[in-house]
Amino acid sequence: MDTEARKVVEMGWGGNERLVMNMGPQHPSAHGVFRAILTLEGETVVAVDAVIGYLHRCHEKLGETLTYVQYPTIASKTDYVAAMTSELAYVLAVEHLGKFEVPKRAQYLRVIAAELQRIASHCLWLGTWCLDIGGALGGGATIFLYAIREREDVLDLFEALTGARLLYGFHQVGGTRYDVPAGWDKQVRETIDRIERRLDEYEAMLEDNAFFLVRTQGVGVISPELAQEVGISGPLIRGSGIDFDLRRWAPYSSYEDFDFRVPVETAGDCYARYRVRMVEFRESITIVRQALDGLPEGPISSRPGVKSVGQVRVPKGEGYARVEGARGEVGCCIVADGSPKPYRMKWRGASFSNLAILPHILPGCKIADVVAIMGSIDPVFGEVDR
Amino acid sequence: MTLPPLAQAAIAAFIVLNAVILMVAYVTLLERKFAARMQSRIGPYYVGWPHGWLQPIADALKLMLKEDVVPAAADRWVYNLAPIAFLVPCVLIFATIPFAPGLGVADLNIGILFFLAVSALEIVGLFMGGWGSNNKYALISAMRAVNQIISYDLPFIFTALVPVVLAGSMQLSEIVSAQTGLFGWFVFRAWGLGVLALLAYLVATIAAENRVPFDILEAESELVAGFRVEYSGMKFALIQLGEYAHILGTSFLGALLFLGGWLGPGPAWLGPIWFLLKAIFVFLLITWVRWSFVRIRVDQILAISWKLLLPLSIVLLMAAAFAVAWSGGARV
Amino acid sequence: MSDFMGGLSKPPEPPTRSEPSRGVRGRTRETRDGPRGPESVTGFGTGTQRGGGSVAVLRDGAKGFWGETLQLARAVGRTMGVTFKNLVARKPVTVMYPDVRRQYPDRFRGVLALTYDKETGEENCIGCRLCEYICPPQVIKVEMLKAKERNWAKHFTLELYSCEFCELCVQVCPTDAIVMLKTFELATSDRRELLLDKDRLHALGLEHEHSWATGTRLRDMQAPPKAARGEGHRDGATRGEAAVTAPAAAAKPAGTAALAGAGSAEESATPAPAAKADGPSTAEAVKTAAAPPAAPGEVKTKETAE
Repeated sequence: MDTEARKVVEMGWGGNERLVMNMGPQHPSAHGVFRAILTLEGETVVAVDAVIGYLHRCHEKLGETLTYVQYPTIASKTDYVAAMTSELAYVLAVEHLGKFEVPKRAQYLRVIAAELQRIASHCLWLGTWCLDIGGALGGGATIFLYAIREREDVLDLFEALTGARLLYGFHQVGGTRYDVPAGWDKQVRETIDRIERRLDEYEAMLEDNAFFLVRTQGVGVISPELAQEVGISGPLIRGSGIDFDLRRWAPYSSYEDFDFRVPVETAGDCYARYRVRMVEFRESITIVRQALDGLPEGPISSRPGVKSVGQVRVPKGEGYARVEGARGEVGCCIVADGSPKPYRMKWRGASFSNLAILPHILPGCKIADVVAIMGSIDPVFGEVDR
Repeated sequence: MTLPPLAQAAIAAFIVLNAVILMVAYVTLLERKFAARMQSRIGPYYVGWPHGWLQPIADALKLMLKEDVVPAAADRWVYNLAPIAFLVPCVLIFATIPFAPGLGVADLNIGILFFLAVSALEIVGLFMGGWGSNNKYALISAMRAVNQIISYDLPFIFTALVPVVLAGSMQLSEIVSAQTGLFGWFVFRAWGLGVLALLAYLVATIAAENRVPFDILEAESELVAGFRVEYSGMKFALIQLGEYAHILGTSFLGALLFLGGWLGPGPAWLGPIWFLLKAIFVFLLITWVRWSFVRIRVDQILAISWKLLLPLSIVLLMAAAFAVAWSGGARV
Repeated sequence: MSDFMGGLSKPPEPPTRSEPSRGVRGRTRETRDGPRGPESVTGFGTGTQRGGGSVAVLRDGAKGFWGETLQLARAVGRTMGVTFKNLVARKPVTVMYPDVRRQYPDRFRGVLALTYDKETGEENCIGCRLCEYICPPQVIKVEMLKAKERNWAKHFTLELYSCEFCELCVQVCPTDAIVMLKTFELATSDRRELLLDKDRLHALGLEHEHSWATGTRLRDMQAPPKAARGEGHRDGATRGEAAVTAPAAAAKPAGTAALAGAGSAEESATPAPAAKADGPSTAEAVKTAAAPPAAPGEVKTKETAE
């Protein structure tokens, strides 16, 4: 099925001074370990060959060797920037397989965690993206540090909630592992209020800034057809004019209780993706507020606390759960054989699918656009390579 | 007994050279602290506690102790000479700057011409480094450098000529002495032309010095470190030194051309201090811009130069000349 | 979207429900017809690029030279205003770490340690090896010393260099023997120093402040109300046949009905757990494979899809 939109763009440049340049795996804007073999014609990229796999850690095999109790603590290592997302996908899949109920309070806590995680992840995206297009020795670094400052505040919340800043292990099958500590509610509200105010500053720094606009508008345009053919998701596909958000489409974990908007931009360029994410920031903040307001009393888990390694068993079967992560659709497929471990586990990483867009949109750009586009795709290589 | 002129010049050059190096070292510290505060950080703190007063010296020592790696496939002569070829013009521009009346290495009667000509020479070292490293990043960076220097030296020269036209002299001390009096600095004069010229000068300076938002040849997110990606240790330190010396030199020139140099209230011996403060003010302006903006792309940089800055600077120069002619040589 | 991963509880609506994104502070951003063509080149932007689209300073169309220059000046002012505000009005957020430490929250998950009983002064650990079994990276090794009144840990080693601080060992500990500390300073010049034995772990426990979590507390926090807990053990049927907890014995009766699933051809006729619980609480976007023979194929499609 090789339609017109899906074709890898080929450049018919007549020049003969092609230069093959490696961008990565060790490169400041490789966002981890990504190797893009660029063929250049002067400053213009005429072809790109993307090499992934440098961060492969046999995560799916690990999932087969660890039980349903153990794996949620490690699931967060696939996408370490938005660790709550993959944990949630995993436990949702197990819960579906085992038909475990999740108490309402736990569902709301999951929503709060997921949305705070989205804020944190978008903070890091904004920072690193500006670092890419702006330079580590310039304004990009300034925005990066501002964004990291805000992300740290969110991580403080997670630390107060779970005790960890990066890999939380917050979810467990049947609910969550941690309840809200005293005073956390107030702390969350203060933090999100502050972040909402600071978002205005970022927009003042970026949105009116002609330097920023010329770097992003019209760069890396993804047409809606291409977006659907390649199968990108998350802010990318919403930036291309397709309203696809699992929180709206297939609500999980009580997302149908909340009132929020799904931002859609039609331009499909880096700037559209930026706008989508900036609106998502604010929508996440409103969702967190609603969830905090409506947080029901009750247990946080329908199952007793973990006491032994084989505590959770699910019947034979196959389950797939997908959640809307910060980067797009994160799916987890589990084939269970009735034992405490899955027979086979498979991740659908949002970054992995999103990264596949690169060969379609990079040719024809300048070198400087390559990093801008890479940053706007916002891949996390833990999730790409797993 | 007086020393022969050559010895006098040598002593003056020695003093100025060392002063420049010291100033450059502490200007880097200033920039780091300034940027840190702008980014909600503290910056260097512990080396030379408190506030890192010894940090530049520690950095220099560290770079001296670093292993000097030469890439196997590098063009050794070109590669090794490049830092020197880059540093010499950057330091040489200080030769013609008078820090106070009569205090300087050589107050040439074509001082500004010398300055502009020499400061454009840094491209040779830059290109040598980019070419000699035998590295693709460095090569692309060198090509960008040539593009950019050609594009931005023209507006840089044109804007720097505005005060020359207003003062009627190319000698830097003459330009300063033409700015005496209340609101006599060129930035306040010629019906707003001076401010515009200063702004255009700042933009052109930032671009000619390859600072963000015009630092496409360093561009560490694209080209890692650009032309100096293969340099390490003391050679890297020389390049860094040259870069900051150049920035400092153009800051001094900007203060001299537009902000009245050493003119200021107080006794005459305060002159150099006023000059230094003004230069640091210009430097901080450049730094402020640097840490506020994102980098733009190579084609856009060239577009800004050729479509906006160059016409603007030519118009400014013509307007200044017209103003002088219209007033019949009187002060404008 | 192919439907194999579907099984959505409600069929997804076609993506027509496109709302214009809410602009910020009243600025509404309308959706536009499509990606901009390469012809809208204005201002300082340079010519068309193939594939990369075009460059325009302003998306809202040409403003002319002066408009763009004004816009540029305004942008410079606002941007530098933000940095200036941070320069003068905000204090640095840096914590001068070795000199100053921030307040670590109660639940901080730091270095692991073993505890003594507060009253008797005995070691709490009974060497039951539950932590060893549950540890995902398998860094704990315990050997039990059997005794009359209670058991002891003969050896207890913890390879802290591989630990991932997931707190599962704390959670399963029946005697609250293993806890986490509010310290995280692991830096060492010798990796072997992070191979902690029993004495070292006990010493660490005396040396540093414990964080809030102990096994009992964590399990209490997670415990559902009593009724639900009993239900979880025995009465799986109300919750869809298979809510089965640890003791494998309990799993059997409930399991046999439900353990029909993918993989074994013999059982393939058994229908999968029937209707999904329709409450809002269940995860909708999930699906159990109803027809086992199809299962392997489905897995394959997913792989290729990615």
